[in-house]
Amino acid sequence: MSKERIVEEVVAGIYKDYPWVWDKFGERGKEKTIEDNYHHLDHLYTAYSTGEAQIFLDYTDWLVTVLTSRGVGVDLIVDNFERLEKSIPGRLPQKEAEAYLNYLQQARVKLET
Amino acid sequence: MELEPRLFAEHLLAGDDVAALLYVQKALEHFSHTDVYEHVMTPAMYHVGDLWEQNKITVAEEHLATGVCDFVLAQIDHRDPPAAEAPRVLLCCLEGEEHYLGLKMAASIFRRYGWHVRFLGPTLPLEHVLKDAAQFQPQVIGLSGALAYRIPQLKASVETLKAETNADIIISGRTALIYDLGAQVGYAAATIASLEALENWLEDGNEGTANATI
Repeated sequence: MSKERIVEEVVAGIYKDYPWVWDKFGERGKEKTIEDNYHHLDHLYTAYSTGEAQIFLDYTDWLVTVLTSRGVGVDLIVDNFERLEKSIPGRLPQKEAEAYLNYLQQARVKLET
Repeated sequence: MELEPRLFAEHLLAGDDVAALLYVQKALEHFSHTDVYEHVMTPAMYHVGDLWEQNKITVAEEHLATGVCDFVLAQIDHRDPPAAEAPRVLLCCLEGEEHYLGLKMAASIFRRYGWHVRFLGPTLPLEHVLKDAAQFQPQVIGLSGALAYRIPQLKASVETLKAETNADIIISGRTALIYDLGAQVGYAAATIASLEALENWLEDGNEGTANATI
């Protein structure tokens, strides 16, 4: 399924580019990253199907609290969202993909300010 | 007496069921059950959730708090048998939804209003909701989805239940407070945004109001 392909690509990229993430969090960390990325996609879908971008932005706020308090910095969340933006096009229907990219960009702007 | 959800939360997190129950019993001398659910238990459990978010408590402590809160809730629940002809409500959480305490409080309020209550707890697949409803023949089915990403599932479930049962559908959960859930599911269901709103709905008589957003 396209969702699995997206998550696979994003997670493989993170662990390839940042080997220290593996050193710090190990196998359990990788499982969590996979779980988190499915969760990101679930919230993107919810925002898309309801037309409420705010659902994804609120989720991002929640995610920042949960992850930064567990030693995962905002920079990694931004990086993860960027990877989703690269991985989504062509794997989902165009209209849906465009909406996802829009929500991800809005969330990144919020995270980077 | 002022209601202190943080103090109650401390008892929950300490696993101190006796202190938690005593606190609530004292509160009930001055406040209604619905007040205690809405202004002590609910904010206390939200606080526990916030502490987990901030990594200040473990998952184990969160489960402990849930267990103690559940115990207290059961102790103060109303258990007089309803009249045979009393209306029936079936309450359940969507598949995957583990946050059942709010719905259990709603079950308790329905009981206090003399309803037959069939409370089916957390994470029930829709096919089993349908089977159970066919047997129990409720006038009302209440669904809870606490988290925002359950909205698409909640919407689909409401549509199926409307098509396959004769019951009025009510929906609730923390999400209902934040997003306009009523608009999302259309006029197929009534949104109950709080336990106080549920009580008002029960007091006003619910006939013909199931299409309203409360």
